Amino acid sequence: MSSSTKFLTLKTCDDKKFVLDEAIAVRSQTIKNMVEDDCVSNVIPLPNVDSKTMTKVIEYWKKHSEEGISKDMLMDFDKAFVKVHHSILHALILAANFLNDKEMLDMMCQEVVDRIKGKTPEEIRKEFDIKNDFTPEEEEEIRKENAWAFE
Amino acid sequence: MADEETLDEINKLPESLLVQIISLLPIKDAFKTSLVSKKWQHLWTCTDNVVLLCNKHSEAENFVSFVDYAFAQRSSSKIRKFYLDFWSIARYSFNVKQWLTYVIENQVEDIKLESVFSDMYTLPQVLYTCSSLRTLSLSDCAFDLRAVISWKSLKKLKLEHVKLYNEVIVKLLSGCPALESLELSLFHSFRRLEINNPNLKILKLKDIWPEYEEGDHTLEIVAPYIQHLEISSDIDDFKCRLVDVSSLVTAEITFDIRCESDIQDDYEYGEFDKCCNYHRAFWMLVQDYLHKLRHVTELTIGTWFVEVYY
Repeated sequence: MSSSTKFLTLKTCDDKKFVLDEAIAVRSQTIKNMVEDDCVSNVIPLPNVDSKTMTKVIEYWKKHSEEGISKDMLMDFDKAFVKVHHSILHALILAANFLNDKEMLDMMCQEVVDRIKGKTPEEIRKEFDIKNDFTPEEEEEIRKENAWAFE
Repeated sequence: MADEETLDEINKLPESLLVQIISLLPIKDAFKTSLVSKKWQHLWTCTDNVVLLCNKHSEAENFVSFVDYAFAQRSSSKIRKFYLDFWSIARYSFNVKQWLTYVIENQVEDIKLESVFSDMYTLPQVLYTCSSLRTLSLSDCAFDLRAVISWKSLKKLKLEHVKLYNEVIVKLLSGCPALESLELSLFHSFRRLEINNPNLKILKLKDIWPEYEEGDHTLEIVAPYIQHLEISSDIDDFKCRLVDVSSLVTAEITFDIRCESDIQDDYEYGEFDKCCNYHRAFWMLVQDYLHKLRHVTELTIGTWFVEVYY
């Protein structure tokens, strides 16, 4: 079995290389398509992903490929995995989107949703460090149009 | 500065991803994101899901006018999901019909209707022929007996607390040729369920609404193609008879049994015979189950099995 294991080398935008079991790497639909189309030379470049983010992605892939891991253990892992600063969350969303890993993308998006739910616009801005570029007049105008929904 | 670096990170996500995120929010939360920043202002009008949640009577009136406003603002024509979990659908049937008409015109694939206040809502004509529907989940609804049902793409149907007369269930099954999974719970029962659609592989029955008419309460199941069957929870004194389930692979027959002595308040000791009759009939039924389910690979059975065979 081990003799048939194929390895792929992934290169991130900051020139770091990751050697990974092909069976794990094909969790990414993007990489899977490349492998199936036989476009894989020695190294697969990932121009949109940095090494710090890729380390997290691989940690996720490896855990989700572990043999005999229970659903509860995976749930605990996922729960802890998404509890990161929003800048990392944002980088992981972009990476999951580029790598086309729908399962991971859905999970990260759901985390953003959970951080938005039930919050006022001010609280959402604070949560994600978003700059308010509305003038007070513009803001007042939008609020007036549907005051009930902002209560 | 580190702070400067992380500022507005999320705003750098492509709009399609932000829309995907906002699509997962209930409509009031989605609307609130319009005030976050100018980039976000109109994103909530492009979502492909419409999730409407309002469980409070006191908010229903304001909620309905807000939803009417929200529909008028929409700039995306595509709707995948329409979820309505509302205080009372029946009391606002006029507005709900308008919302349904809008989402059906926009090729909705997934509809879920749920009411807190369980007064029956008769489904509007526009819904019966929605050909884009793939999953449908309804609670506290009634079918118009004159309606022609044609859900050509429907794969998954879940009905809870719905009146299902014999003619309705026949129409339903013939109107959904692509149906793969049927789940019924707390339903006013029909007496015969005949499934001849080879696509339909999963059947789940849960909680049958009690019948107060005297007599034998039997539900016959003729489903030669189903592969997974569940009969669970409280089916009152109904006897589910398996006439043909010859393709079953897995079955979970875990409903609670109730004899007359459990159901009637005025049960007296003199009616002991009736109770004995019930148990005898039930014993015969279990015998029949064992015979009909003998080819099943995975069988889960209720604790009454032990009681009956004790």
